[in-house]
Amino acid sequence: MESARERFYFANTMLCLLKAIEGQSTTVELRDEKEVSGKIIKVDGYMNITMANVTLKTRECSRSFERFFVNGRTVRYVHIPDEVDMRAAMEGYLQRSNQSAAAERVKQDIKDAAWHKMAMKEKQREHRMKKENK
Amino acid sequence: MPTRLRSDIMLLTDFPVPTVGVHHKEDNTQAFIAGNLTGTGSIYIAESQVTWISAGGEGGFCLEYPKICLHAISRDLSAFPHECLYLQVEGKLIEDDNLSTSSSEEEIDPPEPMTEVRFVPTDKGALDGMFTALSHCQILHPDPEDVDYDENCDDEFYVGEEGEEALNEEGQANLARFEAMLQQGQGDAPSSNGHTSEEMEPGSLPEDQFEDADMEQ
Repeated sequence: MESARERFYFANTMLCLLKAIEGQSTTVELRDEKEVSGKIIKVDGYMNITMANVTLKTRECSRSFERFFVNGRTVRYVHIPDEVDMRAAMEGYLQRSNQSAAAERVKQDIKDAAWHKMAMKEKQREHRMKKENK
Repeated sequence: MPTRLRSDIMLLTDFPVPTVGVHHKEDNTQAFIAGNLTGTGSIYIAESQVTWISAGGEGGFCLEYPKICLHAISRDLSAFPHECLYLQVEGKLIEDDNLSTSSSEEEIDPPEPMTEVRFVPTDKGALDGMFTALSHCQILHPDPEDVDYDENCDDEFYVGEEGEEALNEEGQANLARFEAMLQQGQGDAPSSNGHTSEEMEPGSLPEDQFEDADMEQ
């Protein structure tokens, strides 16, 4: 489950692009000049990246890890695979997440309109009663 | 050789066992700091920090999540002789003089010193659970220096023009139907005399009678 804060970051930063490459293999460069290559399993709203079957390359050596979790603060670059159309990836992600948001909004609009109508009727009724009492 | 820990960061003596928000506890776990065996004890992966306490309770250390740059499961025995939970922690956890023996093979850069911490449970099947617990707890600690976010700014979401075009066909059809219903007054309880506000005598209402209602339009 994503928090409102995470959704905010997905919707307002380039993070939605990373969301679009979940499931693909690529390289993540870390702040301390290390490189991690492997499959992106999940990216969360804080750019924490969970990967699988990675190779961690440092200047001296390379090591392999079965499962790997990088703190978002440690990420410097993420290589976007050449075949990814970045614009389409971001728009696609936002469109999917907007569908549910739009549905919520419409539901709320209808509710508001219904309340509004009821309130109008109530006022009319009160007004009529006042008039009749006169 | 006993490892001398930097006391200001992490040396724990007379330390209470974590009891709150513990996602995973693993006994019989060896801790290695910068490649040096610290001892055997228990690791507690809790929501507020990762704590390791030696079996005899005479020592231990704790790591705070913002300092943990990455964690991973290593089963590559050529890199390290045991399958382990591997962590990279920001900063030097050990005094420099203790590091001198191993610094040649450790990747410690002067600007951003990093310490490798490894946890080796006797039960290697526990590694996946430890990894998952650590991941869950890590995401509870987002970067405090991250771009500012206002809890009340949900409306600032980028949601396309009006949001409606993001609905699928069925959603759009439903929206049109509901709107038509509202316009025609269907679904309302029958009004007592069928009057609507337009039919009311002009001037009979105070000007501000429907002020609040109008504002919503």
